Amino acid sequence: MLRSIERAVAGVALAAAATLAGAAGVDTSPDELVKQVTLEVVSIIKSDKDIQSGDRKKIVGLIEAKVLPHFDFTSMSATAVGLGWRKATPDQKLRLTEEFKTLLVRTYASALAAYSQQRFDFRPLHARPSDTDVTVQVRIIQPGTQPVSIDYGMEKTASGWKAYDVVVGGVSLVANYRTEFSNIVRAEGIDGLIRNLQAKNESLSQSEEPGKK
Amino acid sequence: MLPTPVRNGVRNFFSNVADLFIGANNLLQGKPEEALTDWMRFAFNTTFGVVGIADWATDMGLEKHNEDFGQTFGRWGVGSGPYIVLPFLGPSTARDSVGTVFDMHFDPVSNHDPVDERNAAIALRITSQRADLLEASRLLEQASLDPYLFVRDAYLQRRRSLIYDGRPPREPLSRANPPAGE
Repeated sequence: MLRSIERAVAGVALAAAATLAGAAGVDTSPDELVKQVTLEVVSIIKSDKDIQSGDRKKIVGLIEAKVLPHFDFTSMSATAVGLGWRKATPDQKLRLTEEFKTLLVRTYASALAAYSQQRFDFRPLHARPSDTDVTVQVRIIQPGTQPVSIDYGMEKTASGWKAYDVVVGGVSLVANYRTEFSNIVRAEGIDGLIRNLQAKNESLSQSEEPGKK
Repeated sequence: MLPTPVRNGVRNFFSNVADLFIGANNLLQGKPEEALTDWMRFAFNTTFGVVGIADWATDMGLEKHNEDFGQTFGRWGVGSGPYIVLPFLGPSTARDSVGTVFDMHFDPVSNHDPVDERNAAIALRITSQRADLLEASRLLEQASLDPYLFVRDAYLQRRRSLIYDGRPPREPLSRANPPAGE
């Protein structure tokens, strides 16, 4: 059992690396990319008993291998920090991006695990072929409640389409960090924000130790 | 904790009752087609879905909507007013609190007679909603450095999106996004 999961995760990592390296990933349209990645990750979650029973390490690993390469975390961090970003040094920017990335991956992993049993509806993309900034819309259909909408703000880069924001049910993840980030930057500076994010990530990873959910 | 099929049935039942009232709000907001969908959902689920325990209307492509009086007032141009956290009910604004009073007044479950059945139904509905909320609030707490600010901003963003049915005018917040040709 364990070995088959390891093999699956290794396979996913390989596939992600291949996608990144190959030109195919660059040419894939943004809506097709979102669909491929979502379906692949969901099918892995569905066939993995460990992830279903709450193995957070495994699902975080899956997200890191499969989803993370398609996000522009530098852009996400810049937007979330706002004005303070311009005053940060290159080193601070790197460390901040790294911590914010860790936090977002954990959150995304929980959300995906919660929704993996539902039906996905991939909306047709309304964009011209020349567009370099588009919104890809996905909806999660569930009985008895309004569908949950997930909109990915995506930008065309030299290495393919990259998401710079995720809007869940009308709530922009990146915009939602603006107030708390700017409060911390005003009181404790950029280094203070990095420290706060580090502390948050450490407390989260402690609660992910094996044996706990 | 109730087993999942029971939980879904309870959620669907109250969701079905709410569709009547969601349709009324859609009508008040000048959206007769959406109102018609809501009432068709109610008709199908009440009969074929056995008093609403199964939500077959969703499978048939009749989409569930999310409307209440707070959104109707917002649609009519009433501003949100200050953000407040209500005891038991959680995040709200001045406008949405007034909306909630109207919601309760017109709620079929709260108006049900006899009183003991009504109270049992209200208690069951609160239990069902709490179970759904627990998952979401765990996620929010995990994601935020300052849960109060995070929940406040998420609530305000969410309500704004709901008032415009998921297509709010773009704020100059993130980036200039070209309209996606809709």
